[in-house]
Amino acid sequence: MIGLKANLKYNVIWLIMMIAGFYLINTLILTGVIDSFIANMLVTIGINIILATGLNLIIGFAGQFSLGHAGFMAIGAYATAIMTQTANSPAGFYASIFVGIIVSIIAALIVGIPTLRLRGDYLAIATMGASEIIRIIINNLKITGGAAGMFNIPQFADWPTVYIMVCLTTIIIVNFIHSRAGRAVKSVREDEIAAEAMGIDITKWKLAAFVLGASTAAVAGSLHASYLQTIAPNDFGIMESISILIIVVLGGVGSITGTFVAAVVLGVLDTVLQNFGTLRMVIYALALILIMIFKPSGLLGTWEFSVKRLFNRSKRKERVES
Amino acid sequence: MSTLLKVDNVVKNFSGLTAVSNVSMYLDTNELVALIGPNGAGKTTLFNLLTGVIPVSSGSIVLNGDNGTYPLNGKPAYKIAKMGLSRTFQNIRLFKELTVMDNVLIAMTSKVKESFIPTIFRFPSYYKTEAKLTEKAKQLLEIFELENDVDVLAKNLPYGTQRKLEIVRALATEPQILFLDEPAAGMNPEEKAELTQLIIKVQRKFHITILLIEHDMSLVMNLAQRIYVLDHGSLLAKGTPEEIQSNPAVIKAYLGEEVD
Repeated sequence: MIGLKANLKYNVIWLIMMIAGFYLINTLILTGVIDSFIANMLVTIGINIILATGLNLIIGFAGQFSLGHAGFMAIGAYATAIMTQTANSPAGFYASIFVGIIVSIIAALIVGIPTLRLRGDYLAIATMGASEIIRIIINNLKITGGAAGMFNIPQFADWPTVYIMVCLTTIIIVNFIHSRAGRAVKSVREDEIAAEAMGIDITKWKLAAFVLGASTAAVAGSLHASYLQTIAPNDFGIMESISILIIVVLGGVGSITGTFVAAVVLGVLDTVLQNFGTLRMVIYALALILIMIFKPSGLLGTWEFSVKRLFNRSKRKERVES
Repeated sequence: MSTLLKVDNVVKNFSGLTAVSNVSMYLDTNELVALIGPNGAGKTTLFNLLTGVIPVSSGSIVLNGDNGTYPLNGKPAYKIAKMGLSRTFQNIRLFKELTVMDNVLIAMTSKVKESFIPTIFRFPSYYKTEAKLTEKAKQLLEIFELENDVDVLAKNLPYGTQRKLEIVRALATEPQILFLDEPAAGMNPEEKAELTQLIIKVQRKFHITILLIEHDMSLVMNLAQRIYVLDHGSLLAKGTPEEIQSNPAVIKAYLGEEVD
């Protein structure tokens, strides 16, 4: 079951699904079914998926309640905004993503080493504070344009870039979760004392999850900056962290599939409700409250979509029928 | 037989309260030693000190392992575990929301090196190590007749099986010394008899040293080669089961003094 060959089939199916998704969206855009308005929505959903899967890794799998995701997103966004002003080329854009990742990893280490000793709500407040520090530093620097932010950022991120990045970051995070590293991270969530007694360095694995989550947030930030072409420090405040958290909680803490579903549902809801003007936020909040009352574990709980399981089930059915 | 673990004058104070005072003991290779004492005597605290869950206030713990001599006091718990000291917990501490297989695989985490890039992009080496680990875990689970429960969540196992899984998980770290904290607690007589056989089997098969906390005297007297008695944080007596059974101080601690 575990060999390379046995899994090749499932990996190929995933690859085909990703390529098919790409061509489906591409065709719909070419035929005009998806207008620029909907394309815009798709890109926002994609960026939110990258942000929320990273946060789900930290909250759902490592069990560390972080409220500072927007801070790491800001690092990526400003890295791209600043670098592509001088290096105005696709190569410059990708280099800026890389720089954003490196800076956010450093920031995550600085934030994580002291704060990941804290638990639950204390950690939430500490990470929230750390993310505010990042935002305020950006707010007061000259190179970042201060409170007014940055304009005319060259656009290198279009929907295919975002689509590929969504696939890439999801593959990285899902493969991380389903590995020796992921098991270690989950054991820390389950029971820190037992994990340590089994030889797991809990600080190291907490940091690993935190750093990986932070670096994907930086990628999302880079895409956000390059796609919208305008950023300001206030885009990365506590409200942004919370709206990412909402996606994670709504989809199911500990379910990457749930994060995808919730990001899509909320993205569509947000766009549809734009016609309702100020009523939008009320309906949005109401929808959240209702889901939390009737399905507190989130839309999908900890359920994950699996090609392997799907295959084995249909095989079993065939056997029963024949 | 050589001394594997040497504990000298270990003291633990909890802000004024001395939970463990001046305990000295040793464990030889391939020995099965029991630690007994009334409730609150400090047995579990001593276990926590030996496995690094809490730091000692003073005293020394030295491991005379296969690869030389190492002081253990002051080391974090995960390093002590890597050096070959593994344990179970009095109040079961399994990874409840994970499967039986995952519980065992987690204990093997420190046994393999897997770097980030091959893991993330699923290089063939990743599948090779995973297959190797799973095979090893299956073999261990088979010894304990848990091979049919690999995909069951730990929290859904019956109580006795959870205790067994804790022992499997501890063995998966390939320990030199295994600490069992009341492994028979809450078991019925049949389960206890089965567990006794299992402990003997494990010790013979894996050639490990076992230190056992247990309240069930028949189990202790059957299994242990030597016994340490702890009372009010200090060692009350030590010796063979026969010596302990006839020791007046031990009888007094357990049953109280005779009234003339």
